[in-house]
Amino acid sequence: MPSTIPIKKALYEWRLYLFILPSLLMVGVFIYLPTFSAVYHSFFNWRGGDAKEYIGLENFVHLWNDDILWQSLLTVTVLILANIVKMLPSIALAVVIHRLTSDRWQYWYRVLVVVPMIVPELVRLFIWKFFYDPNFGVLNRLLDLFEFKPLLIWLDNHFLHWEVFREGIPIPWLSDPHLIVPSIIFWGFPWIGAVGVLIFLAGLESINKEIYETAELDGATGVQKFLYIELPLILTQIRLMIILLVIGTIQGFGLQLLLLGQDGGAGGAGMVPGLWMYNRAFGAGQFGYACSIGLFLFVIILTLTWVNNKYIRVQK
Amino acid sequence: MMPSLRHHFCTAVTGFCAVAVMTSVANANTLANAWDETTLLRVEEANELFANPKTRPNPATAREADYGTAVTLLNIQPRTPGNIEHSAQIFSRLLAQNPDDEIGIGSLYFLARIEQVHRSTPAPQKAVALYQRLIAAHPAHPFAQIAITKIALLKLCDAPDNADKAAALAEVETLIPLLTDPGARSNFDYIVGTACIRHQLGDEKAMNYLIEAVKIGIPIQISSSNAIVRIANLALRLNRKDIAISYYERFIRDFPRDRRTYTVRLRLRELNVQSPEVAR
Amino acid sequence: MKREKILHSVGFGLVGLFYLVAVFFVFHKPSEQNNKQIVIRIAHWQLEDGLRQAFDDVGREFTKLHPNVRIEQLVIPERIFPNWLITQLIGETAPDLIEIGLGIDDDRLARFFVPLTSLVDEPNPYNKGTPLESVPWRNTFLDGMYSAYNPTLLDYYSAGMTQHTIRLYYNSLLYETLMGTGAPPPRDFVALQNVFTKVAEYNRIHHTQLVTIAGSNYNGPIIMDQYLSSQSQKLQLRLNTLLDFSPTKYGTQIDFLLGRWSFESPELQSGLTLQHIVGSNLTKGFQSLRREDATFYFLQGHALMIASGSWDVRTLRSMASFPIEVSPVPLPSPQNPTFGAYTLGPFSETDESTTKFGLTRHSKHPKEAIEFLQFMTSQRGCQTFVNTSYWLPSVLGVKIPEPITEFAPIVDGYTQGIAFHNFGSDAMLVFTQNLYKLYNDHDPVTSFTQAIEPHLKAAVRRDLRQEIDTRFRNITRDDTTLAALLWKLSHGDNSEEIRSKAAALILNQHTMESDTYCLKTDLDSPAARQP
Repeated sequence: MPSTIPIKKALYEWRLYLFILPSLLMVGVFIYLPTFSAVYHSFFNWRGGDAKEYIGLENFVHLWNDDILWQSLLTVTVLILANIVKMLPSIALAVVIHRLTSDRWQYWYRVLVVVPMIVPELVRLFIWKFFYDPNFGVLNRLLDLFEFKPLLIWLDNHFLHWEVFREGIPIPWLSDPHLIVPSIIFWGFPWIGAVGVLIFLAGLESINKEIYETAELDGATGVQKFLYIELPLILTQIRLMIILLVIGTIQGFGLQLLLLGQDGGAGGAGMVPGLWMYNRAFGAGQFGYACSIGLFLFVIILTLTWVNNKYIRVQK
Repeated sequence: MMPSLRHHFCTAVTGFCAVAVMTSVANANTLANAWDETTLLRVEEANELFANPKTRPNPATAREADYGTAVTLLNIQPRTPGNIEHSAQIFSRLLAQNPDDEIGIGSLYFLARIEQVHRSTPAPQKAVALYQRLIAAHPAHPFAQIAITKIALLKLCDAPDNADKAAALAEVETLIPLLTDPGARSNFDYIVGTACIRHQLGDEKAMNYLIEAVKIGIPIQISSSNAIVRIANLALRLNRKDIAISYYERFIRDFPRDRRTYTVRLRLRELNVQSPEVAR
Repeated sequence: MKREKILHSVGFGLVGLFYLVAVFFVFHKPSEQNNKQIVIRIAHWQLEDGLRQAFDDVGREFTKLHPNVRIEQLVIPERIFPNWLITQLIGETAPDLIEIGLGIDDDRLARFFVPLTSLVDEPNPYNKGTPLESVPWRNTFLDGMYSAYNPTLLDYYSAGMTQHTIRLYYNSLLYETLMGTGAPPPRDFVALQNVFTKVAEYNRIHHTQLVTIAGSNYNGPIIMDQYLSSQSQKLQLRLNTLLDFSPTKYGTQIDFLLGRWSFESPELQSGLTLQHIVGSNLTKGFQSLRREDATFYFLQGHALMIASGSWDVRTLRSMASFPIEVSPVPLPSPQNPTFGAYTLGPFSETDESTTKFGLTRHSKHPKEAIEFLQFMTSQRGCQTFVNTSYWLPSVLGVKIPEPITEFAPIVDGYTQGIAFHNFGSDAMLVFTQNLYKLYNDHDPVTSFTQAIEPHLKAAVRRDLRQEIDTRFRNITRDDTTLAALLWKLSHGDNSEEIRSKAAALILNQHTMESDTYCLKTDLDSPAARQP
C-alpha cells in the first residue's frame, strides 16, 4: 500500500520543483500542446492556414467511410505480424551471446551488435533503397549472380501468377504492388535490432545461474532451457518490445515515404495509416482530416497497448 | 482673485474640450484603424479594435463599431455557426434601429449574404427576398446595385440543371433598368453574358451583353481578356466576321503576352486578315 | 569535502566564464549600427549551382549604387522553408524580402507582406536610361506581372526575376556514339522513337543497361504529362464551351463527370499509348525513384537523357563529365502518321514569372528593400542575375545568356490539352497508384484505363467538392473586405486605390460565385452522379 506524503512535507523543499519547471515547460510546449492542437483541429475543416471552420464530427464520419484508411490498417496489421516474427533473430542472437562462456567474446559480440547503431537511420534507408534499385541495385545483381531469378520466374509462372518475374526484365521491387509489402518486410534483413538484442540480453542476464545448474542436473537440452527457462523469464522484455513495435509500426511511415512516396507506391500497396495521414495533410491539404486520422491511430495504439498489457501475462 | 479663478475656469474648460476632442479623434482613429485592418483581412485585430470600449463614447460611433463587429464576425477564425448567428443578430438589431442610414442598408445586404453563403445550410430564396427588399428600398445604393447581379447569378447559376433558364433570364432582364451605376452594369453584363454562353441562351444575346461590358470597362485584366476572346468567338459563330476580327485584333493589342495570342493570330490568318497584329 | 567544493567552484566558474565570453561576442558582433550600413536580408530556397553567386552579384551591383546598403542572403532548403518561414514571420524576425511560393497562403500574404499595388503603375526607377524608362513597372515583365497579382486579396504582392521552360538534356558524347557523329537532336517524336530503337540495339550488342531517359517521380511527370497533353489539344478546345481558349481544370473535370470525354476517348487512348511508349524508355520503376536518383543515373552515364527545367542547366553542366546539349521535348507533330491527328502543335511557354520576392511588414528598412526589389527586376539587375545564374529572365529586353539560348520560351505555341495535372489530389492518387499498369507490357493502356475507371469518378467528385468548399471560403472572406472598402468609400476615402480595389473585388466575387454555383449545379446533376 503506497503511503501518501503530506503536502507540507512535499512542499518543504519547494525550490527543488523549480528545477523540473524547464523540462515540464518543454514537454508541455513541444509534446502536449501539439497533441491537444491535433485533437482540437480534428473537429474543423482546416486546410493549414489560419482559416478554419467548425464541422463537428464530420471528419470522423469521413474517416469511418474511408476505404484507403481501412486498407492501410490491413497493411499495417500484416507489417506488425511480420515485425513480431522479425523480432525472433534478435532473441536468438541475445540467447547465443548470453550462453557464450567467454566473457571476452560476449563483450566483442555486444560491441559488434551496437556498432551499426552509430550509422544514421537515413543512411541505412538510402542504402536499402539502392539495394532494391531495379536497374543497378544489389538485390537484382545477386539474384542474377546466383541464378535465383529462373527460380522466381518458375514460381511466378506456376504459382504466383503476378507476372513480375520475367526474363530480361529487371525486377521492380518497389514499383509493383505485389512486391511492395514483401520488400518492406524483407527490409533490414537479417533483422537484428541492436536495441532489441540489448534489452533481451539484460533480461537474460538477470536469470539466476542456479536455475541453469538445476536444469542441467535434470538433463535439459539447449532448446528446453530456452523454452522453459529463458523465454518465460524474458517475457517482460518481449512484452515491452511488442508494445514499442506496435506503436512504432502504426505510427511510422518514414520508410514508406522514402521508398514509395506519399501515395504509397504502385497500387497504393505500401499505404500505411501514418502515410495516409501525411498524404491527406501535405498532399491534399486536409489538415483537419489528417488530425482526425492521428486521433484515431492514438485510440488504436492505446487499445492495443491495453490488450497487450492485459493478456500477455508475465509470470514472475 | 476673480481673474485668477476665471483663468483657472477657462483653462479647465479648454483642457476639458481639448481632452474631449483628442479622445474623440483618438476614437475616430481607432475606428479608422479597425476599418484599415479589415481591408487588409486582419479580421481578429479589427474585431478587437471594434470591440474596444473606447470606440463607443456616443451612440453614433457605437453603431459603427457594432457594424464593424458584425462584419468581422463573419470571418473571424475559426468560423463557427455561433459567430455567424451572433453577426446576424447584430445586423438585425442595426437594421431595426435605422433601416435607412449607411449602416442599416449595409446590414440588410449582409443579412442577405448570411442567408446566401455564410450559414452552413444556405437559403438562397431568403437571400433573394432580402436582396429584393434592399433594391426596392434603396435602388441606387452601391449595395443594392451589387444585389442586382447577385439575384441574376442566383437565378441563372444556382438553379437545377433542368430549370427553365430562358424564363430565369427573362426575369433577370427586368432588373436592367435598375442598374444606374456603370460599374454595376458592366458586372451584370459580364455575368449574364457568360451565363448565356454557358446555358446556351442565345449567342447574339451573350455577345451583346459582353460587348456592353467591355465598352463600359471590366476592372479585372483576366476577365477583360476572356470577355474579348468570347465576343470574337461568338461573333465568328454568328458569322459576324467584322466583329470577330476587330475583337481578335483588340485582344492581341491589349494582351500581347497572353498565352492565347498565337491561337488568336492563327484565327485571324484563317480569316485572311493582313493587319500588323497578325504579322507581329 | 574541500575537494568537492573546489570541483563545484570550477564547474560554476567555467559556466560563468563561457557566459561572459558569449555575452562579449554577442555585443561585439559587427552590426549595422556600428558601421552605419543598412543590411537588407533576402531569403530564398534556390540551392541550385550559381544561384547564390547570382544573388551576390546583384547585391554587389546594388551596393555600388547605394554604398550605405548591403545585401545579405539566407538560403533555406526547400523542404524546411515553409516551417522556417512561418517561425520567422510569427516571431517578427523575418528577412526584408522573402521568396514567395512555399508556405505562403492568402492569410499569411495579407498578414505579413506589404502590397506593392501602389508601385506597379509607376515606372521602375532603375530602368532609367533604358527603353523601359517610362513604362509602368507592371508592363516591364514578360507576363505583365499577372502572376504577382493575388485575385483574392486584390493586390500585387511580389515581383519575379525569372522564367522557366522544360527541355530534354542529353549526353552529347553518348548521343553521337549511338546516333552517329553530328547527328541532330530529336526534333519530333519520330526522331525520338529512332533514339529508343538505337539505345535498345546498343544494349543488346554491348550487354549494357543504358536507359534512354532518366526518370524519377519528379522528372517523369514533367515529360509524361506533355505527351498526354499533346494528344488532347484539339479535344480541349472542343470542350471549351465558354469560348475563351482558356479551359480551366475544373471545367475539364466536370466535363469528365458529365461524360463529355473519358479516358476511353480516342484522344486520351492515343495519349496514354504515347505515355506507355515514352514511359517504357524511362528508368524502370521510375515512379519510386527520386529527383537525385535520376540526376545520378544521368551524370553517371547510365542514361542518355534527362527531362528537367531550365533551373537545372547550371547544376547539370557543372557536375557532368561530358558535354550536355538540350532540345525541346520532342512531341508528335500534326504530320505524325500515328499521333498527329489529335495534336495542334507545340505548347506556348510564355509562362508566369518565378523567383518572386515579397516585402515583409516587419522589414526595418522597407524603402531600401523595395528599391532592391526594383533593382533586381530592372533590366540591369535582372541581366546581372541571369548572366550568373543562367536562368531565363522575366523582364522585357533582358538578353538571354548564350549558354541557355536553347531554353528561350516558345512564344508561337498553343495551349496545352488535358493531362493528369488537370486533376485534384484524390484523382491524382488514383492515377499515380495505377500508373505502373501503363508501363507493363500486357495490354498497358486498356489495363490502366480499366484500373482507374472504378475509382476515378468518385475521386473527381471529392476533389470538386473540396474545390467548391474552398471557393465558398474565399467568397465569404471577400464580404468582410467589401464591407470595409464600401465603408471607406462612403466616408470620404475616395482614393483611386480604394475605388479600383472595390470594383475588382465586386467583379471577382460575382465571377467566383457564378462559376461555383454552376460547378455545384453540374456536380449535383444526375449525369455527374453516375458511378
